[in-house]
Amino acid sequence: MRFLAYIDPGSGSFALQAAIGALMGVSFAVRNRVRGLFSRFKKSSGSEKTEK
Amino acid sequence: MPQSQRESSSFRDNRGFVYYEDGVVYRQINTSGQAAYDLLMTSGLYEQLTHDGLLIAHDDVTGSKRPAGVYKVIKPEQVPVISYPYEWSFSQLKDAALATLAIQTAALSRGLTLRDASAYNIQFVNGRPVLIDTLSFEEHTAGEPWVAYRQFCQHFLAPLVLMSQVDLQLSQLLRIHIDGIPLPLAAKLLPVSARLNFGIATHISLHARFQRQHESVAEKTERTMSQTSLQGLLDSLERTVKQLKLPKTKTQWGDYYDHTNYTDDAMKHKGQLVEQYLASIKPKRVTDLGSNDGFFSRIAAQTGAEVISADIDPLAVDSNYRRVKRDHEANLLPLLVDLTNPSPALGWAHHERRSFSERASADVVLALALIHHLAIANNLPLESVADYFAELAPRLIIEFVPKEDSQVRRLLATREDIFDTYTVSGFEAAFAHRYTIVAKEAVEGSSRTLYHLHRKGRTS
Repeated sequence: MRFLAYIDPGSGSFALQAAIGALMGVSFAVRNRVRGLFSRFKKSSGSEKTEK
Repeated sequence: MPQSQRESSSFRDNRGFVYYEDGVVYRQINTSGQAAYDLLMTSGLYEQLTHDGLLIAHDDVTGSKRPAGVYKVIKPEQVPVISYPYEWSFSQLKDAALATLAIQTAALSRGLTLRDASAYNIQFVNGRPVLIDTLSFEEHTAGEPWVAYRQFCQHFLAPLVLMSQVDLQLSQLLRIHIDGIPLPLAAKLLPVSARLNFGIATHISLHARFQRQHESVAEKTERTMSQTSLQGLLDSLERTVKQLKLPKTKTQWGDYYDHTNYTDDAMKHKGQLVEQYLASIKPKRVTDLGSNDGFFSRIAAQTGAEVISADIDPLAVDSNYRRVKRDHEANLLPLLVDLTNPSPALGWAHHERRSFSERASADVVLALALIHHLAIANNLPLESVADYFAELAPRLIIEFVPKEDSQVRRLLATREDIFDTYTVSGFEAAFAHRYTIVAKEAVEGSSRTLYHLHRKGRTS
């Protein structure tokens, strides 16, 4: 891994990102999935109304 | 032959630097910055960000003769007024933070990343926060954490959290800490209740603890981060910033225009006089000192001039900025400035960040309902006030507020009146060594007088 930065990224900041990254990634992915489902549901109920 | 002068703050990056030639800003890109610059331009990121108003646009003006080591010379869109984060209100800093996160999110989606997240790389252009450092990007290496995470937290998140949770005035810590507020300090200043917020607890408190634990560790962690984890981090930062609200506090001048001693007619007449004086000057740039929420700055802006609208009150400046944003006012920049202690030159060799006075020079200074605060509330000699205003601009539109005025009486209510020369004649005599009177008129329905003054002894 390269990890050579223009500014000092800080060892602690890198370690924190590594520690919390997975949790935040999962939370982000779940919320995106839920958002996606909601928008699909909205779209389909919208098209049903148009068909009526 | 045009003389070029290197920007005094542009020395940290070996990939290039900013310089001036005949007052125009250019950026030299060295061959060491070639790969990153080309990637920015060919990835579609430059087009996306400039289209969205998040990155300053530029023209390639590389000449036919390129000295060794020089890849390109670009001419960015010119930024009329350079301002610094400690001169921004809460909402300005918040918008600058969100712009930085939006840029990083867009960069990641195209395989690039921001290699720094300095608040000084953001400037307000046409009323909006824009990244001005075209060389801030590099190729993102899969698995690598965000190298600018700490800098983002120090430059943006920590001051915003402190302003929102503790006191608006804590933004001034950015004056002392030029690379952002150290996270252990921010964590120490925060109330315990702030730690109940997940974002603050993680990105400030826990971040500070990790910094302390790893400060003696020379090696970086070997653990990597997936793209989704990085997106999650940015999303968490964005949600934390968005949740931060301007505190519900009252400041001394936050509702000034609700408590003036002006009648509507007097205010209208004063506005007409200011308009009339400005019309005779036709300024390109106006600096409005003590502008409060920008009422008279807007009269100046309507002439087409570029206006710096400076005030000491953080809520008044914030309200001014929110109006700029709401009404898409492109030529008005609200700034937080204590005129009795304006932003000094800061940073390495005093050249990294220029003083407010160096950046605020204009064709006209507006100093309305201000002189009594300087001369009486702050004991500044009238001659000294005249000297400072004369440094900033060749023309001055100034309102003299006499001792009979209720605002001055209020200032004198609890203190000895030692201001014998604070009279119309004393004011005119004090300003006469720097200015000649072009016009002078009483503001109807008040005891105040408005002056249009012209600086002596220099060409304007």
